[in-house]
Formats: sequence, C-alpha cells, structure tokens
Amino acid sequence: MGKAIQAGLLTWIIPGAGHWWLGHRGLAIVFFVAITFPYCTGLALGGVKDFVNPRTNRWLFLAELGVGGYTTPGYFASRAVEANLAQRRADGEEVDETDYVGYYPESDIAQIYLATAGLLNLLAILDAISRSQTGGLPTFHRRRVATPGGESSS
Amino acid sequence: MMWPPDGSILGWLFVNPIHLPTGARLWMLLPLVACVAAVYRATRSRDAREIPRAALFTFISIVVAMVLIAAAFYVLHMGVRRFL
Repeated sequence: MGKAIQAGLLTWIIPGAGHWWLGHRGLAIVFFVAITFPYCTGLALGGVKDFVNPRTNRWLFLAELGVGGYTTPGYFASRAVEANLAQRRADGEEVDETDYVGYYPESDIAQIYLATAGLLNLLAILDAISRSQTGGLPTFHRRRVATPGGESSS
Repeated sequence: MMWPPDGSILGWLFVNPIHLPTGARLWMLLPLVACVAAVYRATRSRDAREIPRAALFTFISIVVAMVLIAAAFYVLHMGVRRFL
C-alpha cells in the first residue's frame, strides 16, 4: 500500500516519476513528455497570471491540480505577477494587461491544453498505482492467477 | 514586457503569453491528440516499445473520428440552413 501511495504521489509531483521509481523508465519518459508538453504549451499561450489562478477559473485550476508539481509553483508565480502589477500600478506606472493574459482564441487553446494535461496526469497516477500493485502490469493485463490454496485471484 | 527582472527565459515565456498565427490555430489539435494517444496507449502497454505503433493507430483513429464528426455537423448545419 505504501508503494502505491509513493508511486501515485511521485507521479502527481512530476509526471512519470512514479513509473521511473517503479523501474518503468521507458513509460516514465513517455508520460513525462506527453503531459509536460501540453502543460507548458498551455501556459505559454495563456500566461501564468490568469491560467493558474483559482480566482479567475476555478474549474480549470481544479483540472490543473492533476499535475500538482507544476500547478503549485505556477500558482505562486501567478500571485507574484499579480503583486508585481499591483505594485507597479500603485507606483503610477501604466500597465498593459494584454502583455500578461492570453485572449481569444489563444485563451481557449490554453485552457484545453492545460486541462487535458492535468486530467491525463490523473490517468498516469492511477496507472502508477495499478502497476505498483500488479508488479508492473497495466490494469487490463491482469489475469486470474492460481494461488497455492487452489483458489484464484486477480 | 521586461518582467521578470532576472530575465529568465522560462519565466518570461510563461508570464508573457505568445500569440499564434491565424492559420496555426486549427493545427494545434494535432499535438494534443498525439499526447492523448501516447498517454492512453502508455497506460495499456507492458513495455514502452509497444507504444509508438499503438499510439500512431490511436492518433489516426481520433483524428479521423473528429474529422467525421466535424463533417457530420457541417452537413447538419447546411441542412438546417436549407430547409428551415
């Protein structure tokens, strides 16, 4: 049970880290690339200020929390950008919001990419947990295995 | 545009959103579908070597299915415009 929690937690922090820890290096690289790429693309298109921010889009933030290791620093970066802009406004500087927030259609693409990355990592977390309990087999490969007592288990 | 002051490329990229050329927007579908196909197939593979072929098949299936759905909606749209 501890192994499953560790694998799931590692995958939540960095996509593929749980698989790497379990010894599935190839799968770990696939998960890392296929989840990190859409997350970074979404963030580059939308900007960290409004797109990792529970106050502007709480449902998107919830989906992004699937990749906790990226969303947590992103949230603090978002807060830092907001504080920086507020300070500059207070100092009398004219701040152009369009430099910091992605607008349509980039905003739509950013949301889809970020939410997909978060939800794909949930799949990766479940897969890491499953593989930690089955000795590396994906869920659908589970077979009924004969036990010494004559009963069978999956 | 000068923030963050430390000038880190990573920070600058994520703080200041980039803009896509008009023609590139639809094509943004393809990398996302490729990622979805790769992750889905990775969850169903015993080994990473099984993934490329299976992911390619899944990628093509998703793209073809989405094109068919788009075509069906287009035909429906044209039908509604013609008969209503």
